[in-house]
Amino acid sequence: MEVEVPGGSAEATDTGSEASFKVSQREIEDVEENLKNAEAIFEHLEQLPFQVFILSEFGKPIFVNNDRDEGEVVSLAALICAFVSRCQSWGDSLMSMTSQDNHIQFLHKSPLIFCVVSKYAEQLDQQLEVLFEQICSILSKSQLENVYKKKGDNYDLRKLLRGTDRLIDSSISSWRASPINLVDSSISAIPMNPSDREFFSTTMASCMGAAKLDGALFGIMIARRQIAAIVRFKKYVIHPRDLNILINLVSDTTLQTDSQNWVPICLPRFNDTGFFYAYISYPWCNKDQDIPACLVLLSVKRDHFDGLKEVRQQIVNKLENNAKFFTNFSQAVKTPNLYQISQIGSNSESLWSFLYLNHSSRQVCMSASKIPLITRTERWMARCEMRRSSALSTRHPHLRTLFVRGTKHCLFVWVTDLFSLYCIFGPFVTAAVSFQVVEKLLKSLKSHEQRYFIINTTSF
Amino acid sequence: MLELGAQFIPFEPDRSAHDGNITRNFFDTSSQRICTMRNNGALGMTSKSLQNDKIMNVRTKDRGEPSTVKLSPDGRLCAMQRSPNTADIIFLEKTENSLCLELNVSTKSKEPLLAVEWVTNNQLLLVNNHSAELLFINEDKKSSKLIKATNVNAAWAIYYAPSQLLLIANGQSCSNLQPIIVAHSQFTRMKNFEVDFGGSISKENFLEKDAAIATIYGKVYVMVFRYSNRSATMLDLYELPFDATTVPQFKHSLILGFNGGCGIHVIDNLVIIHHQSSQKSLIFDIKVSSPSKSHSPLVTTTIEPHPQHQPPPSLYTNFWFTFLPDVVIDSAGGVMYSLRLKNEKSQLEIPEKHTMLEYLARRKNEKKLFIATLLSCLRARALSLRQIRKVFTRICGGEKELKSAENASENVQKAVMSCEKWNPMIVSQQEMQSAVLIPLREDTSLPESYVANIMLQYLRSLFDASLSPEAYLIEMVVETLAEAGEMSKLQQIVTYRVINDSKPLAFLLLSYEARCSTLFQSGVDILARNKASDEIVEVMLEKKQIVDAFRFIDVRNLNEGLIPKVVEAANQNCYRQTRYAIREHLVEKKAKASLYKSIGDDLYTDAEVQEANTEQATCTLFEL
Repeated sequence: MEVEVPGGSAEATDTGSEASFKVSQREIEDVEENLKNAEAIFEHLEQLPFQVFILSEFGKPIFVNNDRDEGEVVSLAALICAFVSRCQSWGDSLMSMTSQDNHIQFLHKSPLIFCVVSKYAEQLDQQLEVLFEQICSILSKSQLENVYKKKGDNYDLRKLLRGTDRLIDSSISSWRASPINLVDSSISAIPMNPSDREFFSTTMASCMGAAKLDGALFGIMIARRQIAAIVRFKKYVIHPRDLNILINLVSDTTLQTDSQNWVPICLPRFNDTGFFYAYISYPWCNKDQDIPACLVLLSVKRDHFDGLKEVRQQIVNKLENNAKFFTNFSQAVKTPNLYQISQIGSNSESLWSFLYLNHSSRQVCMSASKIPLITRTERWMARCEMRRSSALSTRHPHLRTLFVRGTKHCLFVWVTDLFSLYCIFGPFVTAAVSFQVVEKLLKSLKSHEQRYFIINTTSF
Repeated sequence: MLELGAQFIPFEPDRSAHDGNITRNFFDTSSQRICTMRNNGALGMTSKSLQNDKIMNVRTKDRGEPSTVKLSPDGRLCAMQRSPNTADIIFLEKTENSLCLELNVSTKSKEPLLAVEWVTNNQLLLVNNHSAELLFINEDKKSSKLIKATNVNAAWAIYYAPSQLLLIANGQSCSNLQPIIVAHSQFTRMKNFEVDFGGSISKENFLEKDAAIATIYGKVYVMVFRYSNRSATMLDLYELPFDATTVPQFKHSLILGFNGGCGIHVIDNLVIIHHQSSQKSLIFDIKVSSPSKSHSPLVTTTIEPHPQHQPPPSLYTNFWFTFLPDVVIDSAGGVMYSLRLKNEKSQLEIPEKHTMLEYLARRKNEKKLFIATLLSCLRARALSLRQIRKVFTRICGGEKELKSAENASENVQKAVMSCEKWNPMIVSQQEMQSAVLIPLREDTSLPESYVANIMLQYLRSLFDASLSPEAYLIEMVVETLAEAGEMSKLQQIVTYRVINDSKPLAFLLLSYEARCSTLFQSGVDILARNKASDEIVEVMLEKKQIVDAFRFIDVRNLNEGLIPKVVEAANQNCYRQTRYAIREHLVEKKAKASLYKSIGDDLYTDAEVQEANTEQATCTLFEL
């Protein structure tokens, strides 16, 4: 009754209504706090380049980068799971969400859900696939599917993945650091003298062939996240994405001792149900020499450790015996000599950076750093331009050449059936001049092809 | 709307007194004077005019009652017709206070005279049934000499002095009219033409009193009353061409809508018909009423006497005589009046605003009234935009019709006739701005977009008239459009270059950037077209578009004087990456080192370059 009095003053101040008022106030505060928290989380997410969530279909968090608070992760994971399962219940699948400068990409690969929140819209879907393959490489796809059937929906996969978080982390890091090669399923070759690379490959091939180990398929020399040499058994080929999983694995600093490792690894593009056994060694990573090169010998047989150890020793011996080669090789690996833009010749000062991708061999060649793209930020901004134009040319296949005059720099993109070329020029260059420079660059790359690319994969 | 007697002059009315004294009055249409003859001149002849105060007073011999009295243009000679066949020339000047000398003249054939008219101060035109003769009067010798004669067949003749035009009626029912120009001591026959006067059994012949000649809008018209038993009387206007080879044409027909006695005036290019029995005056404007040939009266009104006449004179009486162009003679009261238009009353008389403005725009010396009326109509939003534009087009002086009318007589080759030219009212852009557009802008009760639209219409009218708008006008239009928020319209008139480019305009547009960003580019475009490169660079620097400023300098090949300023702006606003690019660019252009010295050589340290090189070469992973 009293409450109903309009504008009532004296009656309205009785204790009962005051109490209820207080209660409601407290409730509002709680909601506001929650909202604030949620806002803070989202603000934080907005600032991150990549925030990745991996969870099981049933909402159990498996992996989160950037060391997030457990409680926060659980609630976000539940949210992601709800989004995905809701869309699934509609017979649809959730791909992505965008709000202003925030892009959220989802990937549902039963029994896992992947989600990435990023400022950058490009290639997020491929990045999530790479993450999926990264997890497959540890467990294999068949094992991944079986584990929930055997252990129940609530099984915490983290038990199986223990100790591999850093591999996933470094895989994510490489999205920013290395060129677009990873998500574009491409690799880069470490620049070497053609004769040295030839000698290297034939040596590896002959040693592998001589051992006659049935099931040893590949021999790879990796240095600085780049490939120095690769040999294969007959016609077997290894996919660049699988190679990148290997690169990610051997770049793990905990392995880098002079000891030998025997690691089971699944290469999902080769066979996502079975395992390879990788004999990994860093032959010159000791106190005397510090050559960060890694020899990986892959076999499908679990008992080839001793055989491959023998092969490794032969290869190392042969390489070391050729003093001239070895000096060149150690030099090339210690300080890789990337393509210098000044090699192009005159008028090339306006070209600041380029990335060349050969479509058939899936190998890239990246220019060495050059003023004014020096700091990490400066380099990353240039890289972003390239990523964006790469995404653009994927979306619009008819796009062949593109010249954009920006306020900071100019962008030149040239896509043909054979190659894609992304160039960052200074802001004052004209399209005509940039095209002349690019033509010279292509000529120069062609004449030094064997130095920057692995043209033929030697087989045994 | 019509006012009687703003000018007036009294005279002695006609009378035949018992003492034998007779007073007779004559109006000379050519000299516009009224002549009072007392006792046929023996007691004196007085001539007065409304135009000047000079009253002429002479005495002549009494040689019988004259039928016409005509004064020469300079007033020194008087032609008087006292007998049907001859005319007397009276030399007025030299015989003050005594009887005037006289000279008797006649045509060769001594036939009865139909017309006696002064062509010049000393040339007298005599017309009889068979010939028209031009006599030279020698004032000193008191003699006359035949200069030129031509054979005509005349039933009656009237003379229109302003154009020195003699109109002769002949033919079966006198309806065939022959215009003759009497000029340069020559008779020039123009093409004759037939008029339709509604002839019938009761009215066999076309009479002199049913015809009149007047100049309307720079063209000479013969006005003919056409009577009809079935319908109302019409006044038909036949336009006389200026040359002798074109046939005069029927042009307009004024629908009078009554029968009975009427008077006709032509004042300020308006034909005014006074109808006696209904006491109404009809005002026709052949340009305003309709585009077709027949016209209804624009205004039907009643004459009002000027307040200076107390008690007011009676109007439309039987004693009224009307003479072209504007003379009313009250023969009973003995007063000659002029009739005048009171255009300020047109707002009340012409309800349709657009017509009223069209009417006012054509009146002589009414510019002030017109502008004030236009402003009030626009304020009252009484006109549609289309009508506004029509009015604007008229007063810009751009209408083709006006231009051709103005110079009609000049355009015609071998023009033999002349007449008073008509000059249409032209309102200058300055007048428009100060008297109409600015008051509209300042009127806060009007929506800005309405005012903006009016200005656009004005601009369009100027454009149609191929007149270039003045800078101040453009500025005001732009400002008004911007205030009205009509950015798209503003954009359009700039883009399609309805208004001319100018630097002030460009800066005005630049200042509106905050409200419509695309105007910024329009402004820069104008500057570019004006080759105002320095200003463009300034604008770009203001917007911190330093790289663009440099590119612009390159494209335009501007002098190096601007470079230090741009370099300075770059030092303040740009990342080192851009500064580096600028320096490299200047080096490449072989610019003087002093120009870019301030950028410095130490943008990048060797250590960080080395580190970057290593990181890049070894594909080092990093987080930002």
